[in-house]
Amino acid sequence: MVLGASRAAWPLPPDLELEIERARWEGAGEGEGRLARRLVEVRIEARGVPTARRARLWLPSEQGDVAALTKGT
Amino acid sequence: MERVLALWLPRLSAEGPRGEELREFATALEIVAVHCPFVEPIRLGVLALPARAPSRFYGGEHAVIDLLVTELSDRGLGPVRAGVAEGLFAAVLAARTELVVPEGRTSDFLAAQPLSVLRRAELASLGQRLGLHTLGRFAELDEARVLERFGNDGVHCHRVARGVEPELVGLRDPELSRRLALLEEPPPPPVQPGFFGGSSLAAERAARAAIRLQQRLGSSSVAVARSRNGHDPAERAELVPFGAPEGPYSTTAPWPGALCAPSPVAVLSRPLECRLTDALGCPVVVTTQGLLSARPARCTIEGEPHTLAVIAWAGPWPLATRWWERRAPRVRLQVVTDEGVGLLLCAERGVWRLLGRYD
Repeated sequence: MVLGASRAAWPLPPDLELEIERARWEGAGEGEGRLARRLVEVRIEARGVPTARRARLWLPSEQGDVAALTKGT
Repeated sequence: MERVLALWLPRLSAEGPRGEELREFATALEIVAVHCPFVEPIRLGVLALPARAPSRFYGGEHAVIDLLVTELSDRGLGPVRAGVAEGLFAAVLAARTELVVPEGRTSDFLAAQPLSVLRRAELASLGQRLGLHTLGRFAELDEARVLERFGNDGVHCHRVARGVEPELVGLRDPELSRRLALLEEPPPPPVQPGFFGGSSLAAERAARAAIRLQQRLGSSSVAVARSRNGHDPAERAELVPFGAPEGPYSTTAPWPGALCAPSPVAVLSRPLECRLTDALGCPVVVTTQGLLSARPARCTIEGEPHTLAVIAWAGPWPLATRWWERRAPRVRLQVVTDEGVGLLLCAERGVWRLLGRYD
């Protein structure tokens, strides 16, 4: 399996391509709060799968891990 | 000809995929050397030593064999086969069949051996066709005839078969001594930090390799990252030489002024100067009360062409630095740009600097 994060020259096409399309830090306001969690939108493209999938994740979440975005948050 | 005692460790004769046999063989060599310092490695799994001195000391060849076989077996290196004969070649053959060839009877012992023991495929097959099945029959040939038919190496084999020459060319593994010398590793340090927190065999090997590199290139050639306490993210990680003892301080103790997690992904070794301005383009400064003079709207980083739009910020947080350092009061500020990137800024004497990026 070849995992590639960039489009740099690589002799083999990657099996899976992950790209962060959008990222936004949350937690800071107008002076209050602090950077607490980051919302990212990841695009996943797999060889042989015609349409790309997208997922929204907390990377990192407030607990410091990776969490899928649950509805309502 | 000199009486030679040969030891054969059949389990260690062939090298496995992990190369443990060589290490075990080195251990066997060490064990034997305690009693018989003149022991020599011949090839993997085969050791030989002059039999005369130790058998005088221990009271006979059988006594030496008993001692060495017991010692090696007790250390889990068995099975061990031992043999004694005149000359190295005959001794190695004797070890195969666990035979102590009586003094003066080595040529009889050799004569009964098949021609294949000379490890010469061509000679063996040719001898087979000529009806020469044993070393004895081969030895009976006239040396001039042997030279004619089998060349110089044939003559050498002929002399070995007759028991004139003690050692067969090709019996010793020429690489073995060098490989054993490479095994002699420095002892692992008393405190051995595991790689990736592991204490597995692989981590131990990595540690050994690191120590070897340090011995060759100096202790600072291999560094490991370590976290420690500090105010700024750049202070919180350091590279220390591999094997350096742990600092006296704990990384879990509270550290006033340390930033909360998450930490910036990229920390600048040389903080870049920034310009933080409000919506009207006036510089945003920190007031004597420790507050921002205006709402920050734009941020320009030294060396970067475009200005970033600030959409949110947290802070400023004053940093209580060490009073004895006589450093100007500092404040820190987290800023979020419209691209969603987090920046960590620090202001000191009215100048903003970029400390790190939350990417």
